Amino acid sequence: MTQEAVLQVSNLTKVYGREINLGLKKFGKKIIGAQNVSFSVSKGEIFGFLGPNGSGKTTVMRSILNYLRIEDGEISVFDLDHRKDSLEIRKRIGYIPGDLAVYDNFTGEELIKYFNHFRQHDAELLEELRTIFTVNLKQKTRTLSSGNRQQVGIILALASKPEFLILDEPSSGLDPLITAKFHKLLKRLKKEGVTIFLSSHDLTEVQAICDRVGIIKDGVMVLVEDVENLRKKFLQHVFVRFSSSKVPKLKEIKELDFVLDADQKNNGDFKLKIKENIDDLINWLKGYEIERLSIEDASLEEIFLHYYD
Amino acid sequence: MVHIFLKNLVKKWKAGVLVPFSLGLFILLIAVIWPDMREAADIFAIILESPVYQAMLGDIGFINIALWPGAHQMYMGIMFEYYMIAVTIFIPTKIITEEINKKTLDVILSYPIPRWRFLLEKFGVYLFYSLLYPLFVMLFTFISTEYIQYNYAHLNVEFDYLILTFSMIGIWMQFFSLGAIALLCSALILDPRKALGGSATIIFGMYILFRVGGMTESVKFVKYFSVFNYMNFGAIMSSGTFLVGDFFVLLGVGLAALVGALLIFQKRELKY
Repeated sequence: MTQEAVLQVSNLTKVYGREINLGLKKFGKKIIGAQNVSFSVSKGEIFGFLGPNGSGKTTVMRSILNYLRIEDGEISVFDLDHRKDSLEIRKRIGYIPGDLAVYDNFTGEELIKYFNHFRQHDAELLEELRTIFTVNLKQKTRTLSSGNRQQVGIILALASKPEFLILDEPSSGLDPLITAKFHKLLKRLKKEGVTIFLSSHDLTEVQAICDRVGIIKDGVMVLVEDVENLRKKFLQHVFVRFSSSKVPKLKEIKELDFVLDADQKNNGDFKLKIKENIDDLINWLKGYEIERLSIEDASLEEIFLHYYD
Repeated sequence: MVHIFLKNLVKKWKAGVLVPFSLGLFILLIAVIWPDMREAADIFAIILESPVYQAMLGDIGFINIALWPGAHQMYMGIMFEYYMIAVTIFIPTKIITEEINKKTLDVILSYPIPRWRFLLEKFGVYLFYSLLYPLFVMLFTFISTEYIQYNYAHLNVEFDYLILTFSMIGIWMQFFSLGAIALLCSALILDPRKALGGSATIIFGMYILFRVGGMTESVKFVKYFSVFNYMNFGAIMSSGTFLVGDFFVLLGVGLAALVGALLIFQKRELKY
């Protein structure tokens, strides 16, 4: 990592529950929340954290915030220990929990005023947030829809312009227009040096705004990669039409090492899913006459599904 | 600054003021019916000689309700115990569990506020509003006594406000001590239902110990394990003294439970 790491997670392991073994019978149940999770987020980077429900995203985020006690591993934020220096860290971060809830008998304005006592708001950014988000801040939050409450949560987390944002599915419940404005704002904050660590279900969101992505599966980080590289490196779609003189059999194609999957369309064209090295494909194609060939990057969704299938 | 304290003070003012006010109104009600009721005091005194009643009422059971301070002690003492059991079980436990129930802890604790301070400020709100119980009792006792003196001058009613002050300090110390125990319970358990069950078991259990301990000499010792036994309203009113030893017992128990609750909440995992 050449750039300064704002968040450094090394071998994070979190286990829920306890199992007591009494010889013949076991009592209780252990559930792995996260296992040997390691990654870092650099200053000014937007790091996307992907995984379905229960994969361990929130466990990792809540461990960073010192809400959960980890069994093993180390977490440092701004080179500070996440447990010992938790108070110092919280002066410099903004957080939106996945299951966001704010005091429901407060209005948005009252919440802004209240939380300003604990982390001073940036007046300019707060004004901008008021214009971006359409929620009525004079309304008690209990009367707001979940999407509008989410907007209040975003305003609260961002208003102090923290150096590091931890956002657990921040755009859930937001309408597409607000989401687009929110993404634009995150990109601008990134340019201003703000570091963002966000989890999302929305792969388009991650693809649109993240620099790097981490995919977590059953508590294990299966991949950490640059979004652009990921699409190029990991999975590509190849559409190929062979001249009628020599056409390989579908079975034969499927057996090739670099081919993940293959299919033949009604018009005889082949659709191949290939992994990583395109050189192998080119070498193989040399043995055939090609009428038509096109190669496309797979979407992040396909890469994600590839890891989860 | 104590922003959490102030905000919660404003947020909870209705319940915080109205509940102790209702206890005050009860004194006024007793004052209105007491002049007629005192005529039946002799029959009542015979009933109170029953050991079952005396065990149920403790020191209050030995009071002469034909006198206004006696009637005040008896009915106030009983009502206060009921109020105290309900308030100390529910309110301090809810300081943590309400936040867990509503999932609001994650946001507030992402701000640079030490957890212990967050809890202490919220407990301060409970202590502030529980101070209103003795204050309203003293205010309404004064109003009630004046009412009786004005309307039934021939009864020559008098009230010793110094002893009432002593007993009210005792009441507030019991609120502090029991509240801290309930807070400790919720800091340990976190789960809203289980924490409420835990607090109810401990506080109601102590009340039972106090009452059972008063029944016979052979099990008297059990009441020493109950917070209700120390600076008890009836005991102070009957003895007419400030029970210094009891005061320090309540202070010690309350402080130990409060410090325990703060330390546990500061360190513990917020898993829910």
